[in-house]
Amino acid sequence: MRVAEATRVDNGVVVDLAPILDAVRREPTYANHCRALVQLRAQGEPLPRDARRVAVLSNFTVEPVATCLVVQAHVQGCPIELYVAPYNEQAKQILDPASELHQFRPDVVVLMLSLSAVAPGVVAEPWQNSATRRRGVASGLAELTDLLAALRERTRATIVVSNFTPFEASPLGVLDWQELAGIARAVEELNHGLADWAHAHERVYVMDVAGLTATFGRERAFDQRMRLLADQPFATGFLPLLGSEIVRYLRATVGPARKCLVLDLDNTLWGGILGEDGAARLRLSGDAAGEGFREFQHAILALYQRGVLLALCSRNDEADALAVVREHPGMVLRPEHFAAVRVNWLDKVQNLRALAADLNVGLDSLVFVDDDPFERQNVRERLPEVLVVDLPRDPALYRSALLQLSAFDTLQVTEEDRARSRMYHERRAREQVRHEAGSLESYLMGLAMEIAAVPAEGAIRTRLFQLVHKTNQFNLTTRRYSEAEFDAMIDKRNHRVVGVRVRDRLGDSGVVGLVVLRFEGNICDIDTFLLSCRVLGRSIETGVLAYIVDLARHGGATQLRGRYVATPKNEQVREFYARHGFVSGGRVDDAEVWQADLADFRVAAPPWARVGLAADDGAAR
Amino acid sequence: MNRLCGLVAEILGVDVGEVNPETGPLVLPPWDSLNHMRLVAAIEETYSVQLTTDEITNVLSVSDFATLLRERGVRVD
Repeated sequence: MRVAEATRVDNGVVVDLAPILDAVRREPTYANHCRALVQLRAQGEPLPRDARRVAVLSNFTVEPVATCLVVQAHVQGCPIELYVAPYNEQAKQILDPASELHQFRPDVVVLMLSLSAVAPGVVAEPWQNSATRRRGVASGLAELTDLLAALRERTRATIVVSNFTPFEASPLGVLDWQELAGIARAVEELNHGLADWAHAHERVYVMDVAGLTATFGRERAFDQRMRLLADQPFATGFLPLLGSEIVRYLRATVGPARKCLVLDLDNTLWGGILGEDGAARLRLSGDAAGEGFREFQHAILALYQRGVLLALCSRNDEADALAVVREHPGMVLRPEHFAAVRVNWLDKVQNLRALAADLNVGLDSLVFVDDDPFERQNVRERLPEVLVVDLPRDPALYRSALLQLSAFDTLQVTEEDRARSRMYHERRAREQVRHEAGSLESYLMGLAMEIAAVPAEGAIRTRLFQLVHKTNQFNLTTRRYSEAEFDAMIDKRNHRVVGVRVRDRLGDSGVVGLVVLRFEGNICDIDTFLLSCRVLGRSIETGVLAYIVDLARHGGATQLRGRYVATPKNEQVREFYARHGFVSGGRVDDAEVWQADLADFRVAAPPWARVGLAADDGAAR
Repeated sequence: MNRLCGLVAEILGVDVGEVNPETGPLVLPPWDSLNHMRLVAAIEETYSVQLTTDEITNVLSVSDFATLLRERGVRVD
């Protein structure tokens, strides 16, 4: 990130943003955010071409929040183009199709409303009885969800809506929770209702501002003077945190930033040093610090359950260390939880490189956790792409440090995420079968693969959108569509958006590929062709290309056109079209164009890699 | 009062030469109501003070801010 900041190029002008953003990182005060914004503007606020377009709608004065949002987006390495709707114009902006909001064509809309506007009675009339209060909440919720429904209909953007929190302590005092529906409870019921609605509607996510104010301290989070003077409810000290939290949600809308947690063993997963203390004296439960290590492991297990890969990287004797992982009664994590293991006496930098290669992920997908400050600094200096967690000295605080990490944030967990670990098991089993089968061909035939084309609907759509943002290596064009663009293509008549699902006799790999075709006249363009690295090496890509040729012909095209756009990570597919008989069509912008005349063109897929249609189910896999 | 003038200039995004103790919302267009709140927030944060609602409303210049800060025992330089 640092490198990119220092050399970001905009219209040929090199702008050095690093010192501005470093000042904010060092001291994230509101004043520093204001200074940074002024300086960014003075430099023309340079944005990368793929900056996401974010609109903020609010019925209170939201500009100070927006200041922190814009600057935090830069600080966190994902600059945004921002539109802030005029004060209290959310309904007009949403309902009028010609409004500034819709002209802005946002990728994400953030809707932040104050409780006093959504459920005025709850705030202004604390003397209401429970039944009246509940009716007020219900009608406020209905109005809000109507507005959200209208927004969903009129835009393809991802919608992030903040939940609600009272601005001050309950006027009912200790009576509040004695009532059937006191004020605090009424607000919670409103938040539950909003969450239920968001849960039932794709593209709508709840931003937990209530939780954030509680963590920060409700009395410190709000400022009654600013609310009365300017209808700006938040305290100055809370604004940078809120801006940063919104960015966290913006980033999470496209899935987790990183994929793999790499863990040390001694004094990280357990207390003590195996080689010196012996297995029997390792601390894992039994006392307070030992229990801290176990709780840390539980938190790691929760990440594993939602699809984060775990790896071990430790200086130890491998057999001894794995025996402890397998057999120690206090261990929560067991060998089957680890997708890759490097336990040896080699340099950790070397081991991290090997782990990344093993798992087929980039170094920038790794998060490194080690109690040893020397190892952390070593990795930080030599592998700046790896995110290094600053583990506190006290193991009781390990878990909190892990929970603060936003690198694995995501707003939706797919079936593939949940099953990822199982798939890595199956992969190991496949490698075993392959070892026994002798020739690669007989192995692949023996796998009895089913490669199916599946429509982009429901959970499959969610999974495909995730692939758009996380597939790096087998990705011909690396087009990172916004959710809005992606949904639009699914609906357009001249586009075909097709998922690829793979399973074999050893297991189900789920939806692992995406093809986006665009038909114009007699030409069919392959806008996106990507496959997860999990299924490479089985000629599936050739089978899918043969299927693309069929689709293009059926769609009436006589020319098939593919493009290769080079990125630091997709070198392996540079010759993909050439290898399959396409002829070069030269360069257009940053793309190498490849063409095939469909009148006389065949892609010969091996017998084990033929694509069929999904036979039995449209359900997510 | 140079430091305070400098802070005001930075928050408003104007040249520091445009801000002196007599500068206020009536003479400097960027000092609008929204930026007035930004200034209050930044000054309160920087000097660790809290102004009252009426004081915030009645501030008309940098030197008004300085007076309020001095009343709270802050050395304004």
